[in-house]
Formats: sequence, structure tokens, C-alpha cells
Amino acid sequence: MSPGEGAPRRRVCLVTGAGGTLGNAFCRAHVADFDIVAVCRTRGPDVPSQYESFVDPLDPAADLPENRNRVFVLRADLEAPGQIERVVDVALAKFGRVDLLVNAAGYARWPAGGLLDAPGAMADFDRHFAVHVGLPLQLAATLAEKFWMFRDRANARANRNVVNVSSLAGSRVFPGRGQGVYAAAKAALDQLTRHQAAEFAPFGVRVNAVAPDSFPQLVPTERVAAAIVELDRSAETGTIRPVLADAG
Amino acid sequence: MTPAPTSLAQVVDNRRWVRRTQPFPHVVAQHVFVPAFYAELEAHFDRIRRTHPEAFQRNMPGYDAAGALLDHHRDGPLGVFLSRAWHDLVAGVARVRATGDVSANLHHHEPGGTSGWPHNDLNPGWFPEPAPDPGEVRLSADGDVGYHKGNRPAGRPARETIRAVSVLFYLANPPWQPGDGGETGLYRSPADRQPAATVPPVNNSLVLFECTPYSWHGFVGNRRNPRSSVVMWLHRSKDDVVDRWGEASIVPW
Repeated sequence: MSPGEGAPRRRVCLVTGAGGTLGNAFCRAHVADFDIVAVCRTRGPDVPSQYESFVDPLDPAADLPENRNRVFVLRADLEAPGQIERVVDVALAKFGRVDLLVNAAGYARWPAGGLLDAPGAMADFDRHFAVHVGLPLQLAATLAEKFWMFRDRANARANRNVVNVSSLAGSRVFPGRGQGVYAAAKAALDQLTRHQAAEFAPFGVRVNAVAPDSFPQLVPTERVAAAIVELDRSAETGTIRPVLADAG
Repeated sequence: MTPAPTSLAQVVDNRRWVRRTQPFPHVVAQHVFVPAFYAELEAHFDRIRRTHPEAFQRNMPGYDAAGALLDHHRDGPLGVFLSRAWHDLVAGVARVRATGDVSANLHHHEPGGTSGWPHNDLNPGWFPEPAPDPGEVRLSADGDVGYHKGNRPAGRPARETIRAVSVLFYLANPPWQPGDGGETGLYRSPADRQPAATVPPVNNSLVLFECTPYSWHGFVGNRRNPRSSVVMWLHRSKDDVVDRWGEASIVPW
């Protein structure tokens, strides 16, 4: 038997924002569970990759267990022309498929004047919607076009799906000024998720979102990462799943 | 004064240093030493600065730092960096066959220090004969041989080696946060203005790398706080470098 033969095939996960707080936690917690394509613009996740590995200074030749599972880091500015296509092409060339897309790339600027300061609120308006709505839309659509759309049976067998990272701010109003545009973009992402779920259902790809409270301040980031994996393993589609702080 | 430890296993804390390949191979580590030993290193460093201010002379052309040769302080905790055990640990992590010759300095940058230029450290280092045995290290202060150009009394035998591994260990610094500056910048090319990666001067952390024609690095200006570090080099034979990259790759002083 050749090495690995008979072993269950690991799911392939493409995660954006992999160097951010949630992306990093997801990679750390699940590098052994998935073959991860970790898309990041500058800072990479804090896990072994093709660019990074651990070494024991007192036994530098040792085969460390942490190095056996490595993410595949893919540096890309997804807002730049052509980068979404490139990321999908590279992920498919590397692993031959994508079973889970996690749209975790984020952007947040809260103008001090809130929504009464229209110039301040509009300064980052386009970017909020581009990152929180435009990127998840384009990445999922590009993956669908290049791989998922004509594999309905295989998609269903592999339980392929998308998890968008939304926020509780998309459905609630929190104290303090400045979140308005960010929250509106997350609300739009929630509704985008529901529509994607409807449009991706014919070819067997589920689409859901997690909507966490503030992490890591109120919710442990690891719990948000775990919620993503729970949705991946579920049969749900069109769900916006809150991830709430423990009731004190 | 507490002497340098006899076993690194007693004082090395983090057993998972991080090997990175970009923009050139290097290793970074935080929490290098156990807290109690790190505190001894910091106290030793502060004591030297206090009692030998004259040793920290701004004497490096084009480099906005004051440096003191560590050779004269090998009997205290900082002597760990001059031990054969540390030499062999660094050589093993860097995967370099080193000669046992070590040059080490204490560096201090006052706030407002300007950025250095990218350089690769592939420079010569002269040491007195004989070559060190496998269990010992040879320091530049072990004889009257000039480290940079090999200046020495007539008839004094000496060896020309080439820097093989650079190590920067940060200590005795205020807490660091983004924007403070004082990082070690790692560059893809000496022509680059912006580093491709930076290593912040976090206490009890280090960066080390093999010196090659492509190990471009430099000090990033420290806007707010001083930066102190132990800067040291392991060495390799000149033949190794000539065989691998050619004699023209060696950067003369």
C-alpha cells in the first residue's frame, strides 16, 4: 500500500484574511483537519507553511509533529484586479478542488462622527462594501464558474459549502458611534448569503454565515472558528448563525 | 556575579523557534531564555552600561549605534553567547559548519537613530592561531589580531575567516509596539527602500540567519525608544565561501 492510501481524504479549505485574528485562529485550530489555502495580503498565519516551520534549537534535526501539517500561504491583495481569479486558479492547481470557502477577510474603520458625519462615513463606504460584500460574492462566483457549477453530484457528496464571516453588528445596533457603515455592509453580507444559498443550491453547494459578537473581546476567537467548522459539517444552507458571548 | 550556564537545556525556554524562508532564510524566536535567566542577562547588560559607559562608543561608520565588545564580559551571564554550547546551537539551527570563532558585541541605539543601509554581513573576520578545538571558542580578543583586517605584530600567525551566521538578541528594551521602529529589516535587494519583513526588538527574542550574498538586512530607525541588543557572528572558513559563492562575494571592510 502506498503512503496515504486508504486514509480519508482531507477537505480542502480556501480561507481569506488568513493572517487576521479569526483567520489565524482558524488555521491554528484546524491545520490538521484541512488542506488549507491561506490567503493573506501581508501578514501570514502563525502556523507552519511552505514559508515557515518550527525548529527545536536543542535538537534542530528533530522531525517535529507540528511541521507535519502545513498551510499553503497564498499572498494576494484580493481588491487588486485579477487577484481573485489568480487565487482560485492557484488553489485548484495546488489541490484539485475546494470543499470549503471561508470568506474571513475584513475591513473596519469607524468614523468618530458616526452617520452624522457624512464625509467621514463615506470616506470608507466603498471599501467596506467591496471587502465585506464584493469579495465574498466574487470569490464564490469564481469558484462556482471554474469548479463547482458542473459538479452537482460531487459537490453534494463532498458536502461543499461557503461560510461567510458576518457580524452580530449586521442585525443589531450597538452603543457607540461609527459602526453604521460597517454594520450595513455586514447586513448586506447576510442577505447576500441567503441569495447565494438559493442560487448555489442547484449545483449542491451550501452557503451560510457566522455572525459573531466581538471577538476576541466578548467571544473567544476559537469559538468562532469552531462555528465555521460546525457549519461545514452540517447540512444547513441559508443560515446566519450567531456566535454569542456567554450569558454572564 | 552569576556565571554563564553550563547547560543550555537549563536556560533555553522556547523549544519551537520559527524558521522562515522569505525574503531570505532566517530564524526568529521569542521567549528564548527562561524568565529568571533572561532577567540575569538584562541585569548584566545594565551593569555594563552603567559601569563602562566608555565602552559604548559610537564607532561604527554609517551605523547609528554604540557598541561594546562582549569579549571582556564573558564571566557573567552574557558569557552564554560566547560559550561553545551556544555556538553549536546557533550553527545547528542555521545548518552551517562553523569554525568555533565568535565575534560578539553589545549594541545600543538611542531614540531617533536613523535607518541603516541593507548589507549582507558576508565580511571577513580575523582570529589568532590556533584554530579552536571542538569544545572551545576563539574570540577576537584572544590575541592581538585585528578582527577586521588582520593587523598584527610581525610573525604572529592568524586565520582569515568569513562571517557565517548573524545573531541579534534583543534585551533591556522598553515594551515595543508597532510604530516604535527599531526593528531589524530584511530586504529582498540592497536597492529596496522598504524591508520585505521586519523583526521587532521584543525583549528575550532573537533573529538569526546564515550570511550569504543575499542576506540583506539593516536597522530600521527607532523613532521613540532606545534599542539594545547582543549582536554576534559565527564564522566559517574562507574556502567554504569561495567554493560556494566565489571570492568576489566576500565584502571587504
